[in-house]
Amino acid sequence: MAQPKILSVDDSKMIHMVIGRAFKNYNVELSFASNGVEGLAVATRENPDLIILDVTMPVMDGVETLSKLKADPLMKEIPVIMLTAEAGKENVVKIARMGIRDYIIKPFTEQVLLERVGRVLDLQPKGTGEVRNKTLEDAANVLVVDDKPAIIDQVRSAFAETSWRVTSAAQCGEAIDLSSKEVPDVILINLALPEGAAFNFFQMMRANTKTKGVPVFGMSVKTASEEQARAQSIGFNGVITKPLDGSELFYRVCRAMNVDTSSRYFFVENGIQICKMPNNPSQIVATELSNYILPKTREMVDAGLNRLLIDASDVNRIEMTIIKLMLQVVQACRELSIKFRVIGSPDFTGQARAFEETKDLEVFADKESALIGF
Amino acid sequence: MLNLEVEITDGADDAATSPTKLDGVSGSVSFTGKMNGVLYLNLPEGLAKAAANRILGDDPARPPEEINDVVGELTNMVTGNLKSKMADRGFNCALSIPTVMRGVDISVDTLKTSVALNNSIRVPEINETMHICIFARLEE
Repeated sequence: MAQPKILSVDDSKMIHMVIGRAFKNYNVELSFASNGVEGLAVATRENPDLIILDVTMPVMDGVETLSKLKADPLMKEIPVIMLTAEAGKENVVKIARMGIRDYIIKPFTEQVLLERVGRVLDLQPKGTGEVRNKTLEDAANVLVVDDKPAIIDQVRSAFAETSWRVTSAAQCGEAIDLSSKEVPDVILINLALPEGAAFNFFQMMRANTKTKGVPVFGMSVKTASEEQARAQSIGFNGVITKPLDGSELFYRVCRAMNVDTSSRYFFVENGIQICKMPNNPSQIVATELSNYILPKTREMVDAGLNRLLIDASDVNRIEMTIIKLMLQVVQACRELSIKFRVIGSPDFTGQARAFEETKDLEVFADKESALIGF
Repeated sequence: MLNLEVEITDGADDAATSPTKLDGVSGSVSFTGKMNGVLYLNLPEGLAKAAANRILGDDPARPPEEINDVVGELTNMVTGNLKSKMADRGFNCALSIPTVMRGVDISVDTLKTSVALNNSIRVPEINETMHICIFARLEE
């Protein structure tokens, strides 16, 4: 199990210190922000597993921050625990309706904080085993509980480029049998199964010590807002709407399992770091790659590598998302004194020249030519 | 969070005299709505430092900014509690973010407020007294 990331957004250094002290004996990665604007920026960058959000803050308060989080498709599923000094019934009802997982009234004790956070995250005391992120090369078992064969096929297709196993069950009873034989790494279940079976199944998984930490996603048609709200309120890790978007499904499942997906974009060949630019990336893919740029470039320098090839040979059409990603890589290279070169098709080169931001980039036709004198 | 025993001194809910004097470190949070006004949480320097050490851990060289932060946050909590109690009685209001001031013999005048209270709360362990001053006007 990887270290869960917790982001604390509060204008009070005191609250940050109290939170830091509460978790000092647990395997968690803490980050801090002093207002909503900073909090959103850190959340975008760090993809936390939980946000502890104060209500009253300067610049952007907790209510506005929460509404922006809920409006962002990449962050709307991040569980939020709100901190408030206002314990009145009206205030509590108001914030509870905003889609938060829980709330804590100030002043609070460290025990209360740990207990509430422990309901959302699997808190592991320090020294209980090595913490390492799963990678795409590791084996994993995705259990899909749905009576629609087409959905099972779509899930299989979303994970086709991994070596993961997708097992399926048409009914919850079968899924419980499968889970007891082999604990799945993630479960996707149709929320519309008859008689609220998905919700009962979820409660059983959470009640079982073996499966209580397994991420469970509900699947639901976009308009079924009632069942989606019910799933969110009882603690599903998220709801994935049908028709399924393969890249969104992949991204969200990987995040829930703390899978390091960097090998899709960064790998080393003959002592040279390659950064592979995806063709026509969705917002989700762009964010995923963007999050890896700084850590992976730092990591390569730390490992003694100083040459990086930006491989855009798969990119057919340049648009702002690709330009932003490339500039981010270029900036990281310049800051870390990494030598870099860009590979792209002649068509790519022509398009790159048409943009102010990329017109001066020298683009090589292939890897062989890029390596000459590099 | 603070784990300090306190005792309300005699004459609780004393009407504040105008102008009220504040010494030490004072946090203030104002409120607007069905109840308008301001709440001051005033702590002598020694008590403010002791409260910060109690919450953040002992540090003999603790910078004043950290003490201010603690006093501001405590003021926010006290005012949040007042707000909740008043909201349940139909006097809802919105709170400002806290501000903190330091000084000796700071004079606070209460203009056009129908409620002016000064509660004194003694902390026997530290042998200091803090004050909670509330100046408010309730809208009908």
